[in-house]
Amino acid sequence: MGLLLKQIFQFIKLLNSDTGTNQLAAGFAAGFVLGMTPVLSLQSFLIFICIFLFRIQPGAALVTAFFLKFPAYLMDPLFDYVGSLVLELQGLQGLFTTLYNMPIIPFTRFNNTIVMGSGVLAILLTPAVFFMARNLVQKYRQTVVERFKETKFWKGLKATSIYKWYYKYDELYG
Amino acid sequence: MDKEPTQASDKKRKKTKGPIRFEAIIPVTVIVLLIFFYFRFFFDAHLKKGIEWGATYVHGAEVNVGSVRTDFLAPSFTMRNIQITDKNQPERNLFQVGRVHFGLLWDALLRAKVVVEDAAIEDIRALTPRSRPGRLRPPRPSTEGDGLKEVQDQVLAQAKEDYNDNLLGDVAALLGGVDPRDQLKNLEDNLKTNVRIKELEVELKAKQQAWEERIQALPQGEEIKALGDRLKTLNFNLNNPSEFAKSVQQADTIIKEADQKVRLVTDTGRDLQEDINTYNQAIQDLDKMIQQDLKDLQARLNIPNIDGGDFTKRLFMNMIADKLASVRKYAEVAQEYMPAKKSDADSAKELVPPPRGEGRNYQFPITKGYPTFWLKKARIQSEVSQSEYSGNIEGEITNLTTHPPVVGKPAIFQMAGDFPRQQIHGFSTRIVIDHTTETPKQSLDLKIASYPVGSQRISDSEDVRFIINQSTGELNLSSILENQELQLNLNNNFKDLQYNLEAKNKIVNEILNNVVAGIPIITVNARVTGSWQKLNMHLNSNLGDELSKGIRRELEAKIRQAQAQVRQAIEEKVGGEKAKLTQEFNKIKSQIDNALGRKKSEVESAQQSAKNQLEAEKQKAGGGQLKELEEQGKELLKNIRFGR
Repeated sequence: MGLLLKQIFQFIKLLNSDTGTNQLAAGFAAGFVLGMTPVLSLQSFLIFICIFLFRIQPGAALVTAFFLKFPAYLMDPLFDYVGSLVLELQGLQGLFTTLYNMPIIPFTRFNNTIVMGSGVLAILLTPAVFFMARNLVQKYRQTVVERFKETKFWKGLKATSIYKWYYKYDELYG
Repeated sequence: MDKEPTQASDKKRKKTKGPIRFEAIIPVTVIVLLIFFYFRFFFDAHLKKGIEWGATYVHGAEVNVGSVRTDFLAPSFTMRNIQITDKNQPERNLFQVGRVHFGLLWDALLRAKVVVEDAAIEDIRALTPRSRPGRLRPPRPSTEGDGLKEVQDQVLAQAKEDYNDNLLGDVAALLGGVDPRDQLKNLEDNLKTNVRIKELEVELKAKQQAWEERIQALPQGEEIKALGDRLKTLNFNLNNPSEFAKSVQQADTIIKEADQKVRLVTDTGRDLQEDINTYNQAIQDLDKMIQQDLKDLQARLNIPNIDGGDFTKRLFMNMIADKLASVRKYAEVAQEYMPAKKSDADSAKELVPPPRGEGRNYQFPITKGYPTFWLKKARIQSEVSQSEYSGNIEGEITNLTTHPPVVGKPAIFQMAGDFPRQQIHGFSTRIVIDHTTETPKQSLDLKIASYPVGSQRISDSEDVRFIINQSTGELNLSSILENQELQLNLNNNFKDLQYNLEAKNKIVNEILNNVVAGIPIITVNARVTGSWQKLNMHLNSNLGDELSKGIRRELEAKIRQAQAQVRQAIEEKVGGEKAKLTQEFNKIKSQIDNALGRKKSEVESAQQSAKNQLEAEKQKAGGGQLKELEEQGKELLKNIRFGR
């Protein structure tokens, strides 16, 4: 739980800093895929490995996945429809049969309409989510964060010794 | 102060890192090493604890496992020294297995399936002493839907119907001169037939009222007379074509109305007839009920049936019932764990939409697939040891699986051997469970050349004690269960017999002694066929036949007399009531028939006279002329209507 909270605080800190735009955007995209996938499955596990190995902001991914779970549940009929369309494509039957009989691949549950539908939609929309998230982060920083920094409250807070002490601590122990 | 953070962030920006977290290499390595060491040093011990806990929970008494060893590279699983505590005597083990080994297949494990290529179960011993008494779990409350107990009870209940645990006692009582007439005097009023007759009487009254109401609803005499009167008022004037056509039309309408009334009478008559027939059948069924009452009373008054087959059945059924219940139990278990191929109807049921959020699973052809569990071959081996209950056993289990249609081969369990210390010799069994097709088929063959049989109580009452204290048995059982239809043949031979015979009645004592002296080997053969819900059981035994013959010589006349008395008592009690009911019914039936016939003839006669009158008028007018007149009349009528 502590690790989870730390990642979420890290996410808020990064969001309000002026670095890591791509990390955040990648985090949102990864969270989008996690949120769309019905349950913990092999593909979710792969996303977690990617988050661990690549510079993807885990807090952003977790927060996005958390907030997308419910809308994704409401979108199940759409996923079911798209999934059955894909799984019934005549041209792909041979591929699906091969995959179905391969080791490990069946663990992805690709033959399930909702897993397939959500997977296809998530993969197609991930690039768009990445670029949209990057733009939104930049806009947020330009409008909300910059404006907030100009407020008297922020300036007053920055002038306090507690802030300086915190800043130093953050710089040293991150 | 404001400058410091800005400079620091500039430094951070300069240190921008690439997309890969190289700093994660060390944590990942540490995690991988931890997992490796866990599986290398701790996993087996934890698995052992888990198996012990789970098995103890399921079995209800302590289960111990000596050691567990798993191998991931060549996937295998080995357990040694498994001890299963006997729930009834915790100081000993029900079973002890020296070694269980499963060699698994990686290819299947990667598909989340368990395929055991080669297995061995070795050094099986029964009822071995434990070093310390096994821990017992508190007994679980029996659940309402204990399916296995239910199915066993179903079989036992059927067998119980044919079994009398004091048959010879009843014979002795009858020979002693007990007169059933005394008991018949107090024949209770709750004979099934009597109760049914009372019900039918009430029903007949209700029906009589209903039938009368329906007859009342039929066209009455005035209505029929009115039809005739309306016909008489018609004027078939040939000189006035329009009036003639009108009259023809009205006559036609009257005939149709008469037709409807005839149909109503006919339909009502048919309905009532059906009702009467149903009731009549109920009265005829009373005879069957009388037979049942006779049987029940005979059983209540302990009048034995001494026909050969029936006598044997009542004497030995308890011997067969337990074996039959066991066969049923294991057949149900096999059905549960090895489901048969689903029929089209069953597949259609699965088309019901799954709950939201679960989606639908598409199935693609399995070109290289495995069932969820498949034990390809397991060797069973055990040798005689110090244990009292050890034996020389060799056997194997092949193709045990959760999805027989995928494997396409039946599961076969075969075992043979001896238990010398228990004096069990020539034991062999072969169980074939074929659930590969839509019609599941299971067969069991069991042979035991020789086994010691303990005390068997054929009769143990105050009047007669007939106990086989000790004998040597030979068992041959073969059964096939196909499509829920059972065929079971059981042959039991008992030799080296030691009896405990005692009867108060001299004649019975003599009969029993003479019979057993002439039978060195008792045979009990059973043939059971039919569905589990309705089993046909046939039993024959040389002992049953001989006893029956001996008793018949002495008792036949007395038993026939007692049976006749019971029949007479029932006839007296029920016969009068039945005759009264039949008479009442016949009276009501004849009343209904008469009323219906009268109605029908009235309506039909009215209809016929209308038809005749119309025909006569038509004749008068002459065929062609009449047609022409009708046409002219209709034309005129039309003009009149348009003129309005």
